[in-house]
Amino acid sequence: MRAEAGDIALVRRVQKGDKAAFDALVLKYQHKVLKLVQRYVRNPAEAEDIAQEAFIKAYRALPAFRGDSAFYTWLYRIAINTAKNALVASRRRPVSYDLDLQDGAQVQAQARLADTETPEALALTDEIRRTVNEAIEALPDDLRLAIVLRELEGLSYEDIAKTMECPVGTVRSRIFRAREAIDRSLREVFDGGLGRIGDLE
Amino acid sequence: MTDRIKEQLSAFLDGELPDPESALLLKRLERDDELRGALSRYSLIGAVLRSDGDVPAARQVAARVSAAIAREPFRAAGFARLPQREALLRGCAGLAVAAGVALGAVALVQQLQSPDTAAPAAVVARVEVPPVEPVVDDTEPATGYTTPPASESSGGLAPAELANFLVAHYGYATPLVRRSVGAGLIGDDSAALQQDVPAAEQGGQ
Repeated sequence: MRAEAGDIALVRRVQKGDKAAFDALVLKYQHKVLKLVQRYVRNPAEAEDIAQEAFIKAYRALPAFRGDSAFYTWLYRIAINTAKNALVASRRRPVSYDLDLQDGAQVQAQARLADTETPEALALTDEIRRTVNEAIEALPDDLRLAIVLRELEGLSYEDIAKTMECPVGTVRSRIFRAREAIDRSLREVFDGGLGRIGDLE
Repeated sequence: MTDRIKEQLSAFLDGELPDPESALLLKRLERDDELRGALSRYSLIGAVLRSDGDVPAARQVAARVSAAIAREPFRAAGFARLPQREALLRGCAGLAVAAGVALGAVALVQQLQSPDTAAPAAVVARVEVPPVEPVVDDTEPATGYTTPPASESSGGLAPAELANFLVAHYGYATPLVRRSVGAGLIGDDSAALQQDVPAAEQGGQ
């Protein structure tokens, strides 16, 4: 709930003309939106174009956004519609439609390859997932519990503090240290040749 | 970029950073690419943790969107699509203003039609006071205060001004009030016209 409130606060800033606040919303949701769009569009570059278009549409429509629903729910609908319109324009069928007709692990792997198109992109995605999971496992218990309660359970800092029986400031610090530890591993992945940090924005 | 700022960034991502600190952090985000990269990676970590499948790392989306909206003109949040409740409240407020104006006009007309129009309480419009010579009582010490002689015009409202006022505010009144005010205005006008006729002409008739 707090994250949604944070989003609404950013939206209000955008509505007053603060473009940096919209920038923050894009940085926060670009990966989720891209994943969503890639359910419809195979080509990664094309998917990025559509994600970009969805964000720009959202920016233009934001003055009319009243906050009746969560910002991401609203953005999600815009992204879906943009992807569908792109499909109609290119007269192609969504990837998921193809996958429904197919079966077997080998075919599924081929479909994944088709989703991300290039072996390099697929390797990067796999590496990111593996690195994050390994880094989580390597965390001290208190840091791992804090980040899991936040990211997976969606608890507020106050609720996490009650659960872990510690001050809210400690929760904030633990979550940051968990993220920082995972991020350190993640940056090694990008520095290791699969991509540069500057590429990931 | 210090750990303190990155900790703020982490709290900001979770919607747990107080507003004043968020405002400062947003300003820093505008000019600090490293901080932007950290925000993107922190959000990627969350997306990977929450997702069963793979999460693609967006490479250029944020930079391209940022460049695109930098060229966009600012559009303030408007009232083009007011919620029903707000629209209803606005309508009620308009009615209240109209009713208030109409009541004020009726009160004015009634005041003008009453025989006691010279009462000080009825003075609501411009009053022209003729120049007055100070009255000085030689037998008493001067107090600095002089009492002007009573003016016949001081208690009333000029008919032309009243007419202008009513015409200007007709649009806010209900039809019923318009009729009653209009009737009052016509009645008052005829009385005023009679007053405007020089006394010599009245006496001659």
